[in-house]
Amino acid sequence: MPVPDHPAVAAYLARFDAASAPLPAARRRALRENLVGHLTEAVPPGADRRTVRAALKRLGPPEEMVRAEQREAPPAAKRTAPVRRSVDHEERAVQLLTLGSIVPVVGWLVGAVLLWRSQHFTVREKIAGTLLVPFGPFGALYLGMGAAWLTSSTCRDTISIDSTGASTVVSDCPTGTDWTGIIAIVAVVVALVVPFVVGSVLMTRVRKRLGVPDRRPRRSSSPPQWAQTHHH
Amino acid sequence: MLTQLRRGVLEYCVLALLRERPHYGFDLVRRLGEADGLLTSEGTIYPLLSRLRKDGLVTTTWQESDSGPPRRYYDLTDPGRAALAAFADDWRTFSASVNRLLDPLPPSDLSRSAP
Repeated sequence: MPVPDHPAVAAYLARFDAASAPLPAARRRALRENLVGHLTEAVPPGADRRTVRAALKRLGPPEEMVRAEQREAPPAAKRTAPVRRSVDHEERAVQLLTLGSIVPVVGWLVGAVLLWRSQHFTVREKIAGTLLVPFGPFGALYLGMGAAWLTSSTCRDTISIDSTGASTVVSDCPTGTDWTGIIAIVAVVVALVVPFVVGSVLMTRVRKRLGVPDRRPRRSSSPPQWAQTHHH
Repeated sequence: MLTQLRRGVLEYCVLALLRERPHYGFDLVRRLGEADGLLTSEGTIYPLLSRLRKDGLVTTTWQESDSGPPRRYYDLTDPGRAALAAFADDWRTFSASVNRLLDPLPPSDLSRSAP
């Protein structure tokens, strides 16, 4: 979720980060997600300073939000069901939809169930994940192999035996450009690539939404965002 | 005193708003803000919404938005509906009793009788 680009908003979020340090990491992340979502609505792009200040004033001090959180969810183990805010579940879903499809149908099916059970994907994303990754890339590979076998089996061998008893084998294969084969190869390549692209887009979106950083190491020489300090 | 009272009724006001239709967080905040004196800091609504979800009184779904990133929508569950109905009954009785005690004295009389 994009954070409104304004120094006052950045300062407010930094203040929230400091105030929310005592909270469990999952609660901090969830609250920050709420906060960023709220500010995205309250501070339209290009908003002037007065609008931003008014929105932040209405929101109240971040410390008050943290106090409200501590009041609503005391640290005592009264509530038994922990709230999950990582993207492990979503990662598993996408992995099964793509790589898990090496186990025909079953792997993909489990991934699809996990996808629909997730609370962090929108309905549109779930539909995209299901329809654009039908049976996963390996499903496409198996289909392609089946199509190749069918194409190769279109050659018909005829054995003729002449009067001396010698046999001749004549192969009758279709000649000319085999467009069906080319289209099948292109379709298989697309079907192999698209699921990984869709899976990557889905994970990027859900990570942004929950404020969970990508695990992949970055080559950038600049320090990560969480290590950067703001000087005023 | 008013702070405690506000805190106590706010969650039911949220449930009452959700009775009409699902709302996203910012929309709920805006609606609550229209009611005078109900919401002092908008930010405090989010911990409350989180608790209502954990208690099973509301459920949430992400929905695409035409004007920006996806929004988390809150909807009333059956237990939430039952809790709201029970509170509405209690509140009517409670507020009627308090009003009966307060009604004979207008605010000016109250201040005059103070020592």
